[in-house]
Amino acid sequence: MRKMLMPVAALAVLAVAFSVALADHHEKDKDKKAEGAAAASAKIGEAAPAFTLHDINGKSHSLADYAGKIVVLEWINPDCPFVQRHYNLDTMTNLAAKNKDVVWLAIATGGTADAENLKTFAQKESISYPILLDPDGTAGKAYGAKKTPHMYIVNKDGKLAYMGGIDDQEIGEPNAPLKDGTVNYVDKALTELASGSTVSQAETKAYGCGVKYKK
Amino acid sequence: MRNLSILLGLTLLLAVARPAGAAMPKAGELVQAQLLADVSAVKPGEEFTLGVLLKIKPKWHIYWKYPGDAGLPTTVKWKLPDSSATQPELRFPLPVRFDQPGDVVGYGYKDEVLLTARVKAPQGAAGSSQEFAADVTYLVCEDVCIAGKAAVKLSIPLADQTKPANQELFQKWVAQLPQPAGAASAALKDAELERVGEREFQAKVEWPQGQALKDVQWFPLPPKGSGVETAQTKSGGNRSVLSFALVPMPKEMLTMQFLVTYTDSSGKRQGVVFDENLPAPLSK
Repeated sequence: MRKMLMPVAALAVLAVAFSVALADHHEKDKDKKAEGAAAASAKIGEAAPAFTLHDINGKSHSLADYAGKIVVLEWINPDCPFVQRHYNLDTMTNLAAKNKDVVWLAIATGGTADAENLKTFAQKESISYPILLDPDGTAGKAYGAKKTPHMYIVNKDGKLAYMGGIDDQEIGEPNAPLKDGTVNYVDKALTELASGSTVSQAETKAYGCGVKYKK
Repeated sequence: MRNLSILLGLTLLLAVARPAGAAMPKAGELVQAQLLADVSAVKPGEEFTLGVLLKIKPKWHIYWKYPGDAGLPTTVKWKLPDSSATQPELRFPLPVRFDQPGDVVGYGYKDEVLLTARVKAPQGAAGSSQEFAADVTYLVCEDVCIAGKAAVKLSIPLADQTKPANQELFQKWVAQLPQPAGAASAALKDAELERVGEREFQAKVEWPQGQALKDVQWFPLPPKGSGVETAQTKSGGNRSVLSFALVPMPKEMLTMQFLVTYTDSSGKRQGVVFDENLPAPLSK
């Protein structure tokens, strides 16, 4: 019995030490978080944060791979009704198809970075562009992505040209039709970039579900 | 033994497998809506309170009139017997804050909330029944979000004398409505809004020394089409400061509302609403 107790006691000591270390780490994390938030992640006109992520088929993608091209980043979550609505309407897939020279990358962050679930969704919605997995939320946090969908456009110089919503209609009903007069900000920005002008509305209000960052 | 390990394996598998493709719960099972009034009969022309009672499944939440970093506001469209009457103001009780991982902050309600409006009974013969209705829309979230709506109605007879009803419930929720700035009973008298950058702002409240206010929380309500980003609260001593950015920055200078909630010395949660003009951009 005594023999058994020793390792248990040692383990308990270890556990306490470990949790103290964790708590300390957590405190530091909190400070960092406050700084990061105050500095407000990605900024229009500045270099878009670099990332390297694997897609649902295991292929690696870096933002640098697409230097010289316009890149659209779309934060995605197949279980979010706002995202579902835009896939029911083919908003994203049509836009990607319409802009053949543009690289379209969907990114699933945190709890939604589930390759199998995303594969099913990609098949169902005929998504031909890569869906990247960002389980740790590093890309999401670097861009300050808070919602799904949350949209970003990186211009040919690698600078952030647009951030915000997909359009100006905050609708979360998956089967709701497209409202008359909807302004699709991403479509507008891509058209402006293609014609060589700057994006007139570089920042808009994003709307949707919260990005499911891990605790 | 072998059977046992298979059983164990199965149990593990079941515990780990995410319910992908599993039937999503229906919004109507997560949020139950009911239209109530603080009267069971009302005298023609007299004011009373209508309320949409929303009962939310434990752990799930719905949103305040500004949802925060994500989500959708809960809306109520009233249908009154006098269809030409203007929409009465929808009154939201003090919301709570949900801090989700990754600095995603939401404002809203858990468990139960009563959204109310003051309405006037129409003219008519005593004994005649009047129908009141409301269309409710909401987004209910836990790990996943589901958009829901409900159409609720209530018949109230006109009478020579108004008969109170549901007093306890209405009093409980009306007591949780925010107070206007300058209310005598509010510990916070006014707020200041300062512009510290192109689109960065600081809002500040102060309270008299010696008054112990606890848990001061800010619920900013940005102008339409704009959102609040990177909100940070710092409270200490007898002041609390909210730093935030408006994204996108509204083109025209507008006013912005702030709800500030706190727990007073008696332990009651209170809230005060401030209307502040957005200061002009800093000169460069």
